[in-house]
Amino acid sequence: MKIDIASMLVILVAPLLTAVILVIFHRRVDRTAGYIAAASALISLLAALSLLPALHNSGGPELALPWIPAAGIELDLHLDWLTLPFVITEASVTLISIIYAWGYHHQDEKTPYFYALLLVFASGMAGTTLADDMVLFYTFWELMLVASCALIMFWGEGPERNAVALKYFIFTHFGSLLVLVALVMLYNLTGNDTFSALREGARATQGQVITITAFFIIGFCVKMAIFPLHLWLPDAHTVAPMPVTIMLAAAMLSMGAYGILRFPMSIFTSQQLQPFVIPMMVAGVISEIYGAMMALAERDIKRIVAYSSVSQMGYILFGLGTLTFNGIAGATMHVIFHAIVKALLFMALGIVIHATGKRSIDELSGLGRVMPLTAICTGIGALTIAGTPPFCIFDSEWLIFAGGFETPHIALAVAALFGSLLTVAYALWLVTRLFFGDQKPATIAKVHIPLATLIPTVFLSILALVEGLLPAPVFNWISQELTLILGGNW
Amino acid sequence: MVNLWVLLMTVLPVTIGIGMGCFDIILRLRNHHRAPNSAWAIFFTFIVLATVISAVALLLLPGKQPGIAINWLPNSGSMTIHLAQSGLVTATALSIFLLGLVPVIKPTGLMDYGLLLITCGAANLAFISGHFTLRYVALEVVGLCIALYPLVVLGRSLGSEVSRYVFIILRVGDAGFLTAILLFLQYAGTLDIETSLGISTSFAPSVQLWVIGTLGLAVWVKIGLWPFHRWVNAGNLLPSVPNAWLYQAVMPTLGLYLAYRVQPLWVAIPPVSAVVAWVTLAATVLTMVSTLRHVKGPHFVTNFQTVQHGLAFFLAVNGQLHIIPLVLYLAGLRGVLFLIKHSKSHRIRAGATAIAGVATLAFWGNLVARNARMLRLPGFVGILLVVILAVVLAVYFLLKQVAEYRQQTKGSVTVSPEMREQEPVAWTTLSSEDKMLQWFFRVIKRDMPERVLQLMTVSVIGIGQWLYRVIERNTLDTELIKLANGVLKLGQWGYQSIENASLEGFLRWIKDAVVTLSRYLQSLHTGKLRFNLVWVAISMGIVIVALVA
Repeated sequence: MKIDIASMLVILVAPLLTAVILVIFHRRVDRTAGYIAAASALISLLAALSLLPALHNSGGPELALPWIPAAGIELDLHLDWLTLPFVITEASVTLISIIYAWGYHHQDEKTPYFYALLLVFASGMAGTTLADDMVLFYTFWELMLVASCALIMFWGEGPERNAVALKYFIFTHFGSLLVLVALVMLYNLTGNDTFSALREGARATQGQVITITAFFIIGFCVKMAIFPLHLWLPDAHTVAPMPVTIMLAAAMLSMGAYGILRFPMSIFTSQQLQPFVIPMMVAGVISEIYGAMMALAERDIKRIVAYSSVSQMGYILFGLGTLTFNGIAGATMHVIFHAIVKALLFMALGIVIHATGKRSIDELSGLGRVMPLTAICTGIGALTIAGTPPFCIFDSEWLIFAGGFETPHIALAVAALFGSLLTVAYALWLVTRLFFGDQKPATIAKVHIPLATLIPTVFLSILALVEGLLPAPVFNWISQELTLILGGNW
Repeated sequence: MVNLWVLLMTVLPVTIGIGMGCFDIILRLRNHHRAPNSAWAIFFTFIVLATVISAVALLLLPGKQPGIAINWLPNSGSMTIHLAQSGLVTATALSIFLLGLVPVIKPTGLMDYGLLLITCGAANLAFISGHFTLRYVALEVVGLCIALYPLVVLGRSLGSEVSRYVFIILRVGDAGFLTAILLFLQYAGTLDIETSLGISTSFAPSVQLWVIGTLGLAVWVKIGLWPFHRWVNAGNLLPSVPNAWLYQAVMPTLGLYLAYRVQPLWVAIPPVSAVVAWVTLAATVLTMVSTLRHVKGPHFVTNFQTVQHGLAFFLAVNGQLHIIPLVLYLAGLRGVLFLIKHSKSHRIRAGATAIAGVATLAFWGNLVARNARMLRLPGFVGILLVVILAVVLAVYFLLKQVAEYRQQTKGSVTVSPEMREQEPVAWTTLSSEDKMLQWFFRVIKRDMPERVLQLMTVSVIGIGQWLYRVIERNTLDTELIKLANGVLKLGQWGYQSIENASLEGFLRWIKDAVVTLSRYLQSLHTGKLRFNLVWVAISMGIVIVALVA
């Protein structure tokens, strides 16, 4: 077996194997489960990074195993330039979430199960992105849902966690079913379930293209939490324990964007997808503005950032909808940068919630005095999400808006650009209310912040600046991906 | 060598400023925060002096361009520096102004110095950038520093509100500028300022409309024209020295310079230029109304300066582009007058006001007289009359204020020996202006023109008050508050009705319906045996029918 294929398998198998070990030896590892899980996530991340030279040299590792030969169904794994940014983002977010959980998660006898499920969740995301056939893709897609749902159900906060988990499951499963319908239609069209075969041989009428694409886009928009399919998100993000929230917001939401890139955009050409330009751009702008308005109206700090995800996913959908080089590159960059900033904001707010035990913004104020470093990190997060240069989101928004102006729909691009002012408003409102107002008498005087929660938060703040100043490496990766989609003729 | 001067003028203050800011944060985290000592003040002076020397050195090397090119954002080209005389002169004026302020700055911490240095370096970069992206980023950095300053100086509660307000308003202008930049990128294919402006005249009219409109918005916000004047007024909450430089000098000058830098656009499509000119004039007049209302308040000088910027922009849009450099070069002087105007001494304020009034009258009178016939707007005579009336009224109110100051000092201006020593500038000013002031005082208080003016003034003030009530209080203030509340209410309404009631309610309704139906079906086919048998019979019947069919 080639070393690059082994590395690809390690990305997928290391978390799964570790999860099994944690479950089997749960009594012996209840105190060390977090470290074991982090080591596994680190191995997975290093394996993903080690594949960069292979991608440059040979176009990426492939693994194909027969599964149901009579139906032409195989177990295929493949890593290409489209997969790489997503795999690295997922692995990084998993590692950071696990490290954050060391300081956030209360340890008990169930802790090994918690970390095991986190790893299964990570494995689900890695499998979804590495899968090169429909069956495997859908299997991992559902594994991701089951693991995250179980995490919310068993470790969620508040008495409504079961109801929220059910709501989350039903909503996202509804999206999954739409995706499944589209997958079956594609399979019937080609008689093959591998993506490489789909890319080369999906000859469909325009009506079929529109039907399949509509199913895919609506299905993936549920995962992306685009308005009005977002209703699962605020509840799930609020009830889930913070490490799970970070993984949901920073990594799992981007799976929807990956799905849109992997299926309709990889299979069909730009011309075939033209009827979706305006609907996707409009839906993106509406989601962007609506999410920001909801964030302004919300009082629960965790829900404010959750609604900001609805808004940020709007930017991504808008960028994808432009069907331009800049728009799609910007949307993919936004996936990565949004992961950084959303993890940063949730981590910083997690520190606040952990220290004060409060989530209502009306009860929290003037915390900058007692947690100045958290205030600075949240400030950086707010400036980043507001698209202030030289922080990273500015770079991706620049490309997304540039893509918008490349279309004939200037008014939509202007609406998206000016709609971003609402992002500035809620981001600054959140930070100034939390950290810079007069301190409420009921809030704490002095806090102990675990280093395990503080170090990743500071690291992400620095990363937001570094990525903003040096966007070229990420952009170069993503530019390679664009040869794989919409026919590759730019 | 040119590269070195450019770096000293831009990168040096920014780097040192960031260093000072970080050091201040570390001190605050360790609870060692205190006001900087004289060694820091000397260091700060040294850096600003280096900036001034670099700017002057570049002025003495005309025609030479630096070989600096930065590749940052993908697909937006290399960011380059373009040393134009106008930009260098303006940057030098502002840097010298900051250098002049050094002795009177009273920093609360190193962060104050840091923010001033970052602003200085970023503003210099904006003045000499030859690439739109670089200019945008520099403007954003300046805007961020300007917004952060109240947070540092005014304390957490008030400071955070002012910072948030100022930053959001400035971002409205930045959004306009960014829109124009992205349109340049798309339709000119480059963001090099000279090249893209050259191509911009061949843009489609609809694109030009967008570009001119959004650039106009950027200029309006940055110079603080109505209804964006409140961010400039917010600076009056700060101590007068940082206010004079950051709020009254740097950002409005950058806004006006932006208007100057993209000058070919303003005259590209006459009908669009006419619209921009009319809107600018209307905004200027409304700012003037606001100025009249605040004649005794702290916003008077601020708005008065904004009115001048508005007039300069108005004339520039009409093709009188050479006016902007004149206004820009006077930025430092206006800043000094602003500072003197905020002096505690009535005499100094009276002197400064008189000088400002006379200088302004002479300046604008001269400009209007020279350029009146060259204005290309339809009905320019009417517009000119409005402008002249606005200027005359503004100057009149300045002089009126002088008269009031004089009354407060009870009689003629007398200069004590202490004052000669302590306030030599004021003494010199007052001794030379005393007779002139008295003459103006007589004219205003006793002569016929005063009565005519008074009548006109009363009418204008009445209209102003009415406009103020209608536009500012009832419309602008109320409407802005309503707008803000409206957005919030809309959000809350959306949250309640869409999130909780409609969408979720609908889903809840579906869920309830499904559950009810399920229970009904369950009640039909479970429980008693005979119901079960009925269901079995019906199901079998359906299967048989299906098979037969």
